[in-house]
Amino acid sequence: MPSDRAPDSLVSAWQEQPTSGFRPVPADFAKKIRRDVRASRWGFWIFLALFAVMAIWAGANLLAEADPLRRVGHVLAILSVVFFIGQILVLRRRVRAVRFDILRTTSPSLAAARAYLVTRRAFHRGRWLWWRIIVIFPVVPILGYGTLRNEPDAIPRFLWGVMVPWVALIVFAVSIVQRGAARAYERLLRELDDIERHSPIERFMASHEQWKERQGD
Amino acid sequence: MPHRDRPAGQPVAPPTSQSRLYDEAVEAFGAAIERLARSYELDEHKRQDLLQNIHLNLWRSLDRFDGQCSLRTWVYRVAHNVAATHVMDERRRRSRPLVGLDDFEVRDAGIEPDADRGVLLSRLMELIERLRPLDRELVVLYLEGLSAAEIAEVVGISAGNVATRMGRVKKLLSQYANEGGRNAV
Repeated sequence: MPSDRAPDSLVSAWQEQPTSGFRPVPADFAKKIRRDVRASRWGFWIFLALFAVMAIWAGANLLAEADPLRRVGHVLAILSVVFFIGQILVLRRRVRAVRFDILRTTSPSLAAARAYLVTRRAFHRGRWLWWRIIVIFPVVPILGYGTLRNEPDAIPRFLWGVMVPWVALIVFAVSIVQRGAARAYERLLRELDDIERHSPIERFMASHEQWKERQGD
Repeated sequence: MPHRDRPAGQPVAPPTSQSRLYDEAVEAFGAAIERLARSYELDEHKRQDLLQNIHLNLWRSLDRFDGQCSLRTWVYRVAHNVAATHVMDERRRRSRPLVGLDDFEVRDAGIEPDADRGVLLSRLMELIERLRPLDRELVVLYLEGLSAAEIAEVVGISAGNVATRMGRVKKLLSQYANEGGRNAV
């Protein structure tokens, strides 16, 4: 039974389909974004390898360990690794949709570049930043106390020699690296705002012609 | 960690008339260009490249724009030329042949009466994607709401020829809308 659709319904469906407001990104800016996406991809595999080694180390120690307190420390170390891997997998999933746009097209759209930068910035300056690393905090104290609890004289040395550097390392990792990355993405977003507001089209196109020529070489 | 080899602010040159025209064209017809690119390339990533090429060629061409025709006609001409070249390049890599309006037959019911717009558009895209560039151009321009005279100006064929072909386009779309296009040949 045929429907009573008229071509008008096709015309209106056609004209009212959503569009993204495509505008190309200048090639120099696109190059920066691409470089960042590639670096992040390598970073993911490096972190994954590092975490896998940590998990294997903690797992092997857990099996060999007889002391219950130290076993708890190793279990927490494994949980921290799993938690970290979960975090970077979440980030990877969030940027996946736009990553292809950025890497596989001659020029990513402004929308794709913005989506990527906003996701990265949100990840690095999220409200739950400290929660992401909280699992790792007790690992070293528990392992240290488990080892030294029968040697009270060694505890002060442990506190100053291990615990203080450990906490400093974590604070450094979170406050400097994470917040620094968030600020860097913020700067790129401001640059993108600037491109959208002011950059004349000559810059878009001239840089793209150069980019395409380089691709053809 | 992003790289920082350029400060946020860029020196801003005053826009040329070419740039102003480009901005005007994108403001008024940017969405139409996107719809057109969608009708010529279904693959999302290839479509981004096609869009990029259309914008690049449009900007280049506006240097020669002399106002003999409307900006809309100019934009559609450039966009269709770039897209048609893209289709012909892609065709060499595909085995499925393109067909003309006269060779298109709509058989069997395919679109359910209550099918939503997404389904309708998706089937419409499948139909358009099978057409040869000139016929595709006619269908897309008709869907964009251009009159026969405006289409003739964009496509560069006589108004009479367009009128004849438009009859076929409307019939095809009408059949497609009423009888469905799942099994269109």
